[in-house]
Amino acid sequence: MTGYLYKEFKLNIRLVLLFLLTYLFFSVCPIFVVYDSKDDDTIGQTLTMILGAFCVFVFITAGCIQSGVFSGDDRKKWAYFVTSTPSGIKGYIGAKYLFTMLFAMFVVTLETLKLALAEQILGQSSGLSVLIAAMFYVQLFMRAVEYPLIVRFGTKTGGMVKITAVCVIILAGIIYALFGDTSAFASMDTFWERMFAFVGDPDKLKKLLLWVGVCTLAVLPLYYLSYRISVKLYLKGAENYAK
Amino acid sequence: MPSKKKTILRILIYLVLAFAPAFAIELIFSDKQGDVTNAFWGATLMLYPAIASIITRLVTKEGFRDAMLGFGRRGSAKYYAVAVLYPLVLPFVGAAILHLFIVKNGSVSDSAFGSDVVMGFASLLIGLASGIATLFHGLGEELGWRGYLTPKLEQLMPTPAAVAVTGIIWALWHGPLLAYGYNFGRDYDFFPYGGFIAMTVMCISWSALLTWLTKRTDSVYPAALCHMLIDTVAVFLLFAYNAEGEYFEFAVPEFWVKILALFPMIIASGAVCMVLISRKKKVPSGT
Repeated sequence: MTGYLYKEFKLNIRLVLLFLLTYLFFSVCPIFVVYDSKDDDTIGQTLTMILGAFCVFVFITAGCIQSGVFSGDDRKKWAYFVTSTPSGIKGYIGAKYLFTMLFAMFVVTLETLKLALAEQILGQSSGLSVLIAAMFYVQLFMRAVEYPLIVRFGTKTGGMVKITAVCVIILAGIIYALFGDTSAFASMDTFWERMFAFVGDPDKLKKLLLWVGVCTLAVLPLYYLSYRISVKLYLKGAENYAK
Repeated sequence: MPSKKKTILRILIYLVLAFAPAFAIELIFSDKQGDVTNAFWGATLMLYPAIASIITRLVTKEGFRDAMLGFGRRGSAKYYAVAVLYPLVLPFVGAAILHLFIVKNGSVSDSAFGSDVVMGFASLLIGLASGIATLFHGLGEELGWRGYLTPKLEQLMPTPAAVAVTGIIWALWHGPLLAYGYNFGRDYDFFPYGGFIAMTVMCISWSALLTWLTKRTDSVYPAALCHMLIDTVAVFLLFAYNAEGEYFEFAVPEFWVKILALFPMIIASGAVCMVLISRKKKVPSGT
């Protein structure tokens, strides 16, 4: 397993370094954008919005790197070789899942440091640490859904299946927006009023926090389940590889 | 195995690299109350032992073969489970002792946790979730203390002594913060020496627990996970406050509250782990 993990690091190191370079740019930029209007009274909201948007962007970029960990490995000979090694399919697939998780944790650390730097430069906390933790679990959830598809159908077809699934969800959303009950969004003023009323209600907020805690932790067993499914599907998927 | 002289030199390089930046930050940016004023440098503090161990390994050309970076041998899952369960159980055992023997004017149901169980469990779960997400910070310390220092000290002395010395060094690493009241406040007799002694006892006990996890799995990740969760699942204080957010009336001064409530489990678990670490593995006859 350690060997497979080493392979992942070795193969992805350039991408990770490239990510770090772009990260440095995108982490410093928003801080100085906000720094320009440091004395503005509404800086708290602006800070949260800009840093939050960049935080989401960073996680999406990191997600692209994670999605690519299977590319280049979809060859029959490689699959049969992996099966014959002592670590076997479990070790091979496990290393991919662990690399993904470690990389996500690395991004969390970078983001935590960025927020601390922003707090230091701007003199106020953005309060985005919960968003970072949430993005970490969202990322794991996405990979937990995506990886079995890639393993079963290959990188290209798996990607197509993923895009199709996303399109179906968007389409369902559009159909709902056209024909469903959208009274909650009829006026954005009432929508935000309801939203703030919800957040302002301590009881509802507590329940929401409890569910956030439960849902984030539920991602971990789901991620493990996804790993087990990928292990089971690996050889079936290998049969479909072109080479 | 390298000579004793080489090992001592490696330990010294590691200690200088781990202590110098941490002490510099803790002294330069000290708020004189046990915390640092610079958020960015404060957030990097936990990473220096790992950075020190990496630089030492590169400088001394030791490599990373024995850095325990793998995820553990077969059957490590139960030790990962212990690494998660211990930080979850600790505040509740502490709360039981607190309300049985220390609190004078209230019960668990009057505490901030007891009066608002939904919020209490939400804090617990969110602490757990963020502890797992920020595992790299835990790794920052454990890669240095358990992944480098303890194995190096074991080459010079028996394992229990190595664990104890690591604990003492680990406590002293927090020195400048402790001197200003970190973890135990400033309002107690023998300040700040009492805090140093308490921190040393705590670090030796946790050193035993974390070393046991590391040795059983041959991996630093369970120790990092346990360390991080101890830091993030901090619901014990919710039992020390009442629903209005005020401290209960205690039978002992505030300094002793944490010690009397939390230290029994910390010391007991440390002692058990020390015994388990010290036990020699039986070698099957005929091998």
